[in-house]
Amino acid sequence: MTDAARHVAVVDTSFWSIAVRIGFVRVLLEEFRVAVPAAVRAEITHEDPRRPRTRSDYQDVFLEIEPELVHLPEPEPPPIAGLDPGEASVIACARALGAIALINERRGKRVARALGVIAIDVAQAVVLVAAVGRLDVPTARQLLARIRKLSSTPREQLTEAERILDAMERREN
Amino acid sequence: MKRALQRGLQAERLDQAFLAMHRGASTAEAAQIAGLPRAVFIEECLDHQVALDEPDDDWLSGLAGAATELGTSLSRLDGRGQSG
Repeated sequence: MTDAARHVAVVDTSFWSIAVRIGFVRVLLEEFRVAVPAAVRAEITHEDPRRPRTRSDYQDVFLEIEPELVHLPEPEPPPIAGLDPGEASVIACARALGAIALINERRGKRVARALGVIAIDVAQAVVLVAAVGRLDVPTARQLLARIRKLSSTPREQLTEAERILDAMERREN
Repeated sequence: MKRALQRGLQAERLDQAFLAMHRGASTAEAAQIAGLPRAVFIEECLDHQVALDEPDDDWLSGLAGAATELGTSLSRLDGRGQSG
């Protein structure tokens, strides 16, 4: 898929952390042109005060892929009022760019939808990427199993996601 | 002794932050309680299997909207209502 054909997606910190944990970042970068607002970058690169001068995987992966990120307009759109800085910037940027917001917290997703911004969590992103054929169903299942192990996403949602993958598999066979 | 006390206090703040998450606080609000940067706190949640999200009644419709945006459809994904 060409760069122009790929949708822009603006990622929040919680989505990023889970994506790194389950090994979803590379697929995400293949499917979307990913943008990271300054507030989210600041959150991801913020040093752990308990372990100065050490970096975690989510920080290493971020610094590794940073050159592949889409540049946001400067100055960035003003953040949405009433939300945490990261989510507020993600939704504002997604709205300004007509992009998808990658958010893993319900409050942020709800605000995004109220503003007409499409917002999805990691489990939804896994299903979508499988649906467009970027990921095969068994690999998508493995990613969902990793999310389940983290307990980061409600079981109800994961069950829905697995049910959709079941249906996709039935249609393929 | 001082370090042990600091570790104990940090663990206590982290427990309070997890409790706040269970009660519906956002990760940013809970991170403040824990006295940690948000991303660091999120890592703690993942390490301790603390849910970051709550059940979402709009989950399927949100997925359907995103699918449409990407040029596919939920009815095609789950085999319901497929009319060709």
